[in-house]
Amino acid sequence: MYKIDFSILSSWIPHLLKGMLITIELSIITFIIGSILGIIIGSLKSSIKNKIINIIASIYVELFRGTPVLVQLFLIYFGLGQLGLLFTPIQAGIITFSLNTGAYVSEIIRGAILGIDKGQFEAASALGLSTFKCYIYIILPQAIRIAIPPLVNTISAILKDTSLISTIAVIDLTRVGQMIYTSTFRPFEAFIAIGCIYLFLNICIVYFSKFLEKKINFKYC
Amino acid sequence: MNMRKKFGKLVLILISLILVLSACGDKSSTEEISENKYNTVENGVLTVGFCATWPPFEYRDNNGDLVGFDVDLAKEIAKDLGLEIKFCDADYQGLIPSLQKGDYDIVISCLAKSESREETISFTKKYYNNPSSIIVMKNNNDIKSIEDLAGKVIGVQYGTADEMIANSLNTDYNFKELKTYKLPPDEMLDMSQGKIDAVIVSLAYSLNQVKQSSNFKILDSTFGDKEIAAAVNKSNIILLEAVNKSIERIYEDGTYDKLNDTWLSVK
Repeated sequence: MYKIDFSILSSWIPHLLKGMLITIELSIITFIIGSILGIIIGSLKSSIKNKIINIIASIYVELFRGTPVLVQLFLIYFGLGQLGLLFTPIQAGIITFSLNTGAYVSEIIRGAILGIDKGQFEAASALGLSTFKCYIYIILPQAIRIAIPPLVNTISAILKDTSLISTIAVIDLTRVGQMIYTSTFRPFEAFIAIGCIYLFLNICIVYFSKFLEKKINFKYC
Repeated sequence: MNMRKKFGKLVLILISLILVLSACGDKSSTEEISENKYNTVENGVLTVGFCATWPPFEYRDNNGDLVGFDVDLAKEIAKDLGLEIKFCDADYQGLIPSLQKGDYDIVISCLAKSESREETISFTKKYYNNPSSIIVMKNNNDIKSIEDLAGKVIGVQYGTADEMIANSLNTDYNFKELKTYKLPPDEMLDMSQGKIDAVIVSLAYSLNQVKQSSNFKILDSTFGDKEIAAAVNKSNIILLEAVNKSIERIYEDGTYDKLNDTWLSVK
């Protein structure tokens, strides 16, 4: 009979911590780059009436929303590598996940901007603000506030998506789980441990977002 | 105003956290020691790619450290070349593409020579002969010889030379299904749970499994005497020659026998 024994994990703690750090690092960098990209593209899509820019932005969004992240990762890491564009696995991961996150965030931001009352735009133009200033000072601060809950959703999706990087030889949290399982033949303990760590990180994100929502709402109310 | 200050602090903490974290992954820039003699990825370092789930050739012990025959062999080669060594533990299926792409200098991962592989990478001299074997559960009395595999569900790791052999056995003996797995422990676990009947895997691996656990047994017949060798990028002839010379040295001065006794003895 299979005996569950979590004590086998004790010697793996340094590896688990290292893997966790890589996962956190990758998620944070991805979220920052992806959000900036998403905010820029989302506001471009909703503010500029130029058809070409709109079409390019739409193609980008559909391309990255419509294909699996794993396919994008392999294409950027192995595919572009074949063409001479060489990235390290971490770089390829950051590029892929950021572009992917950017596509999702841009739609979140676009939705948030659509949700803002028309009067705000009219008031801004009545004050003589340019479109750029109107977005920077009036529209985006409100839009981002509306977008916080879906953005938090995105962070927790990123955190889990980064596990795909284990397929291109980065020793992240998932890969450590695989390492434990393949050398101890104890998949139950290994993946319970990995699952708990992901859960813990996600709970941290949820609490951080609640904290952030309170602060920001307070500021504007 | 107070709120804004607090928020500013929060952002500051977040940014500093990111900076600290992003510093962790950075490689410190090494000074140029001399010109890159073997055209390695990093000057003065031999970057070795393998998939550490393949005892007794390369695996992680209970502390998560890399051990095995190939690990020691790689260290010997690096010593001969006068290079530092760096191991990259990667997926088996990605090893050859990554070698071609230039992520590693050499792949030492119990890789079998084959014509199709030789079109894309250069193999060194062989350092082991490793036929494929059939491993089943000890209490399995249905399968006694290769003929009994007809109508059974068989497991094999994909992207390996074992898979090619399994495919040709499949046309000869008509398995019910040939299931392909990413890692060898996956198929062994599936067999332990009764989901498949037998596993086709290299003899060195199955011998090691039998040594570790009394639940398995190996059928007598083996198939295809695969030659195991290291592989380097096709363009790197200097490295290929140096590694070949090193393997010769390892054979001649008795180091090979020592490694063989440590890792591959059946006892």
